[in-house]
Amino acid sequence: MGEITELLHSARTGDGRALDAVFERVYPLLRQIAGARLRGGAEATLGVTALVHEAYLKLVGAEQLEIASHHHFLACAARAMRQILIDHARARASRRRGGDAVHIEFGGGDLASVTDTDLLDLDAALDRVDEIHPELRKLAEMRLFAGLTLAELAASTGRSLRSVNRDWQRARALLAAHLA
Amino acid sequence: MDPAERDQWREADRHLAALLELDGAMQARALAGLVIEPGVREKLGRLLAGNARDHPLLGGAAREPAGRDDGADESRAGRLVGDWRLTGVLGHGGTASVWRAERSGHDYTHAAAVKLLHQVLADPATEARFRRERQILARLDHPHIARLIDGGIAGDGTPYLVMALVEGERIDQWCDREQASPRQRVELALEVCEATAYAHRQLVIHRDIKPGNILVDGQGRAVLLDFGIARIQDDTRPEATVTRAFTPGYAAPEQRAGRSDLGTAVDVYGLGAVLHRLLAGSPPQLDARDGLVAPSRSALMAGSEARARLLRGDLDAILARALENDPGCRYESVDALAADLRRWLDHRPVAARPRSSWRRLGKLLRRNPLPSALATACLGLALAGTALLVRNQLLLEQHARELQSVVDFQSAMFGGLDAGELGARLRGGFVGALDSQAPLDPALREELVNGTDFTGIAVDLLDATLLGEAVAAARERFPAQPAIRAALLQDLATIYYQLFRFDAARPVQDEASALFLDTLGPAHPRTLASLRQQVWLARDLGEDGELELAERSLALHRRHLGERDPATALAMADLGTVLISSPDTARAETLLREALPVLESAYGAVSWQAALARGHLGMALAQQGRHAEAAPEYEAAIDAYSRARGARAVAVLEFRNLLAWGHGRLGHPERAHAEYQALHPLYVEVFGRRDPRTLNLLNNVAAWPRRAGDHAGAEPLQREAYEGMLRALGPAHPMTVRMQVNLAEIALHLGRPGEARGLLETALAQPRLGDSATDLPRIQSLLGQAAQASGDLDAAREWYAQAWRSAASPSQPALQREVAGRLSALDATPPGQAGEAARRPALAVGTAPSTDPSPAGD
Repeated sequence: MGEITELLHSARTGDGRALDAVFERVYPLLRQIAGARLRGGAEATLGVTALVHEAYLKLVGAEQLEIASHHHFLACAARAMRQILIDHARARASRRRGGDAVHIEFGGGDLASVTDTDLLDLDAALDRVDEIHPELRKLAEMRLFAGLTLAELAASTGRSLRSVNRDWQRARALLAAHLA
Repeated sequence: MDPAERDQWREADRHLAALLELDGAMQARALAGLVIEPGVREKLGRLLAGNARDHPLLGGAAREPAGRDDGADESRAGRLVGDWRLTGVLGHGGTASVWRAERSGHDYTHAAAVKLLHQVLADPATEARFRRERQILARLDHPHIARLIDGGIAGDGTPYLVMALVEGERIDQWCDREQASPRQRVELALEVCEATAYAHRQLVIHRDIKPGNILVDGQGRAVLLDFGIARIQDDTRPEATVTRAFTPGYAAPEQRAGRSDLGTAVDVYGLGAVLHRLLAGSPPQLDARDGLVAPSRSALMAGSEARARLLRGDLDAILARALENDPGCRYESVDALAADLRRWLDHRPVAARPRSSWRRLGKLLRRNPLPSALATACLGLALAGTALLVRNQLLLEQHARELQSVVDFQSAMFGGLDAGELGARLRGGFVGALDSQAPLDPALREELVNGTDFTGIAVDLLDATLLGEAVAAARERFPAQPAIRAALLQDLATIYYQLFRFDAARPVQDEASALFLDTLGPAHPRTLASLRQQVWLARDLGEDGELELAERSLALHRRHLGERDPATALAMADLGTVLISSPDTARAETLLREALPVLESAYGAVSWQAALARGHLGMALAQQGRHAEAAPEYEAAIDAYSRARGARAVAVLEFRNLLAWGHGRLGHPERAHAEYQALHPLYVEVFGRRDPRTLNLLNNVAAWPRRAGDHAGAEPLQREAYEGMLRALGPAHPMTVRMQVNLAEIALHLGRPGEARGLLETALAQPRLGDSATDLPRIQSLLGQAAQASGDLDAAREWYAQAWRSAASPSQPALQREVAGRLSALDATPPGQAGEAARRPALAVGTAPSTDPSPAGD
């Protein structure tokens, strides 16, 4: 069992520090992969799904994860991804000049050309949602920043598609209300 | 976030979670029944709005309503939606997904396309709107529109529409794969234009015309999909969060700007954009200032010199016109765009190039600007009067969109009506068909081509198809909106009037006037304008009640608008006009003289309103025998009217006709004849060959040779006039009778007394002959001459005696003198020479003036 797998296993038993440790490992790796992509060209496209997938392969490899571990990993990866994109947006905003345009491919297959302001607004809205309902924040993060489909979310939480969908709609409504 | 606010959000979220479990109708009911504090309700409202709204960061709205999977299509396959079982995905869009579906009948399976809309119907009102729209769409039945078969709301609240399944390929891909020629591409686009124009007549706008919505089926026919669905989608979203579905590249500028008052011009743009894609290879390109890059230039930029060459010139002009930024500058209707495309196909000059030397032919409405101007005035009122109507609390119930569709509808109708153009097309097709047959005798061909009244046929067609349909649509579409229905019906009545379909105009006009009266009251300017239109119609129908109606109209105008109001002056002139042919011609003159200065100061001396009143004043003077005074009034009216409305305006033609008649009365028959001859081709062009006005003019053209003794020259003209009148107005109409008598006179002079007698006897038997007592002695006198020519002197004597008595009242001294002369000549003639005398009747006719002619045909 690899290190990350063990950490995930511990996290499952309620060890909060273990989850942080997973994040500590996922974050630099994703950042590194994303950074490589961003240097790849002026019109870089960051497909969050592909990035998370790549990070997953690098950290977990071919090992079979339990469902809960899998879910924890994806939640961590989504949080890390969000952090990376926000950092990037802030850095560019502080340079006060347009750097490379970042095209972020969100979950659900929608290709949206997202501005830095959009991202920072979304970040703030996610914080508000977290205050109201942390689970919904997490769900939205996974969908938006790890590119999970509702079916994948249902699979990774062991819940019914119907209930996952309903929660996504709640999260989406909360986000939209705070983005308006 | 303070804790109180947070708790409100949490509660709102819990309510949302519960609502999301319900289907559309239940949801609305539950929402209405919720008892919650205002802060929570406000937040719940924001959540519902957020739930329904597309957001660039969050993806499409309610992509998976209540308990749906995320595009995991397989899991939906096999599901039942209404009676339809989904069998496979055909496509996914931002606002809907389309499925192939089957419905099992008793012994067959019906396949169709089911469109599931990605939204939940939030309340009973939207649901009702959805159902109503669906019914309207279901009525669209056109070979180039994919028919709506069914629709409803699935158990989970998803609205769905079931459409005919079209097995085909996208129009752009089909054209490219088939390497279709530019002609073929334009022909396909024309099919789409026809479909769109048809739908516009049913008050349905597509709003999302793009290559993806047009399939070419196995027979090579273009089929337009998704009619009116963009509107359904807009309509069924919560009002505050409307985001419009449109496709960049094919969406009109006003759509891109997010305007909500989209009209038929949006579809003109969409069709132009599709055509641009088909011909130039890409959707329209815009330059930095949002100006359209010339299609030929954009083809050139795409690297196709051949396409660029094709587009340069007319097609560039057509596309530029269809793709104008300002909707008002585009083709006024899809029909107008289609007409131009057909002209391009026929190698004829197109209308899109306004500076071309080509003059539009047959634009009936433009040539007939008198009622057109009235119609424009009505339209102006419809637009400017919106605020007024709202103040009347009539339109508070209406949707702004519905009002818009009224106006669109009106302009589409006005723009699309072109009987002359239709006539020209009919003629073209007819000539083509003739010439593809075995070679015809040139004279026969000439007669067939020139003897057929294509404009008349076109008017029949317009009436039978387009207008009847439109009247029905106006009634059906706005059952609960009497003001809108009134405005629509009024416009249609006006169009019928412009097409001289007075009988057809009548019930529509009466309905519109009654509706205006009911909804706006008697004092409203629109009610009064409608009443004036009723007066015109009654006058042109020659109805008994015209005088009372005109009197009532003037009284109402005076009471509600005052003596000095221009509309009152119009009503005054109307009454004056009606009185011209009554015994009270002097009052007609007074009224017209009183109205004239008001009209001139309100509308200008060169306005059609003032010019018309002046011309009618001329008529009132002529009616009193004051021809020398009438002539300058006519001349001034003709001049002003031509300048206001063009030289082909109906009133200009009629006043010229009257002036010519005055020339005759003032002792210049040759001047009159020359003018009649010059006018006849104009009449044929403007009214069509079969119109009573044209036939009456033809009768006048025949009068000069008839009186000058050139009976052989007069005969064909007179015969055409008589036979045409017989068809147009029937045998009993006084005008028909008068022309019949004229023809009899010619036959008599040409030595065919038997034929003359037949014509005269049937004329005499007409029940309405009493209406024009002046004709009776003339008929009797001619019957005497026919009898004399046949050698039946006793009968001749008897007819002459009767004619002499009839000519005493009303007194026609000239005719009495003529008949007396004939009687004494008859008795002086030895019996054996009677026949010979009658064969030289020109002598006798020459000694006395013929009958008293009147402007209404002599």
